[in-house]
Amino acid sequence: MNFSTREIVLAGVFAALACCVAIVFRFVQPVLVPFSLLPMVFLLAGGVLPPRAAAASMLGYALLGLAGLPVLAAPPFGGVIYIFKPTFGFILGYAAGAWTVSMVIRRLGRSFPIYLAACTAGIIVLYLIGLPYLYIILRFYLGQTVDIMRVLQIGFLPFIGLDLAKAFLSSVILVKIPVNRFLSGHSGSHSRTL
Amino acid sequence: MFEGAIIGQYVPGESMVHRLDPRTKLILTIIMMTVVFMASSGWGLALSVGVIFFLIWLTGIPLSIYLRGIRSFRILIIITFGFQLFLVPGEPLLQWNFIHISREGLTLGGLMALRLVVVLLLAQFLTFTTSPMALIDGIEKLLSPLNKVGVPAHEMAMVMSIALRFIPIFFMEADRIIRAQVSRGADFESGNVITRLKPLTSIIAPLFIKAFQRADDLALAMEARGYQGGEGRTRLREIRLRRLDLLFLSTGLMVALGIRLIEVYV
Repeated sequence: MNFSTREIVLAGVFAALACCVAIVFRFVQPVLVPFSLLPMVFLLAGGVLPPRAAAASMLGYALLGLAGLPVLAAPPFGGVIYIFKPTFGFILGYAAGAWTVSMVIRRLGRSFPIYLAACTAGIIVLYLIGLPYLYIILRFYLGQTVDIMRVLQIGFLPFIGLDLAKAFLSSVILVKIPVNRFLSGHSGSHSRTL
Repeated sequence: MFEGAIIGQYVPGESMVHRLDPRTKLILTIIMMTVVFMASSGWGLALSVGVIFFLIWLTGIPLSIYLRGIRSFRILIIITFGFQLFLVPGEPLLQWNFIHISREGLTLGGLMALRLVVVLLLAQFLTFTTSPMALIDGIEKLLSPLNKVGVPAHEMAMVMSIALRFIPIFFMEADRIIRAQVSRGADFESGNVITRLKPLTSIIAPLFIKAFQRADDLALAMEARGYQGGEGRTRLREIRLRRLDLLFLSTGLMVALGIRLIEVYV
């Protein structure tokens, strides 16, 4: 149950980052190409934070959205009603995925191959949560006749390639972040100038 | 440029609804959203629309502000309507070449579009009358019974508050870094997608470092002020359920049940 103050703050920072990425992509994203950098945010959160804090950061993001603040990527951008959106499972998947990434790193240590494995595992967990949710909402809430193949066609095949690329990119970034320094609280000067 | 996207939501006021406990408003919104989503007939929907307009009237915020918020969703609403209109098979109302509009499609499309508008209005009802901080306080209180089963309610609320504070900071820092890099000759405007990605690292890397530094400062400041988590923490504005809240909650629940009953039996 014990989060350190630093973990809470860093979880908040990653939740904010998720919000910012979602907000920015609303403006630059062409309507028909669903591409999102959010998976990278959750991978990085998992790579930097301890498991529970990583999950808390993404759950915090989801809760901010559910509470009605317009921080989610797709219309209606916020509100409890998001639960009924077929893609909401992926937002829950971010939390589970971030937890997984962090857990793998905690067990195996920190190096590029492990980051790569951890991020891939995170993406797999993302889909393990997101796809069944997609299926359940489509089938039982929207009442569409979909089979597993169709679900894979709309929710998996178009995205998995890019998501694995994001996993690779996140690993590259993670190698460059001096994580231990951030978590122990010696991230350098406290100057306010850039 | 983007900061207003979040903070511009709250419309300060002194209305009855503004003064309600955030928990009341959260629950009320959830109840009404459920009603709207379960409403399968025009009757149920019409009644709930009536109730929601009454609630909106109580907020004392002019309807034009609500409608301005809805306007940015007009494309989504049109797509929702059109999707049902053209794709639902049934008794043909209009047929011309490949365009086929059925009576069922028209009804279903209208129903779905109306539902969407109502849901958007409800979300605005909540965020217009409740400041984000009050909203988070409400969520913390609603989650706190789950503390016993291991849900860290206070920590979650803290994460959310800090996230809210950091959203404008991120935009501000990003803006500063972009200016700084441009003034040093960085080129973000030309080239194809791949060559444009490269200078992006010159934004992301300093952005991360600045964010972590700020997080450090904040954690240090919190600890310096004796922050030790939710246990025994007091707050400036204590939220509590008053008689007005109970009135709203019980009325809301009764109205919701009433609409459901009318739907089922009429």
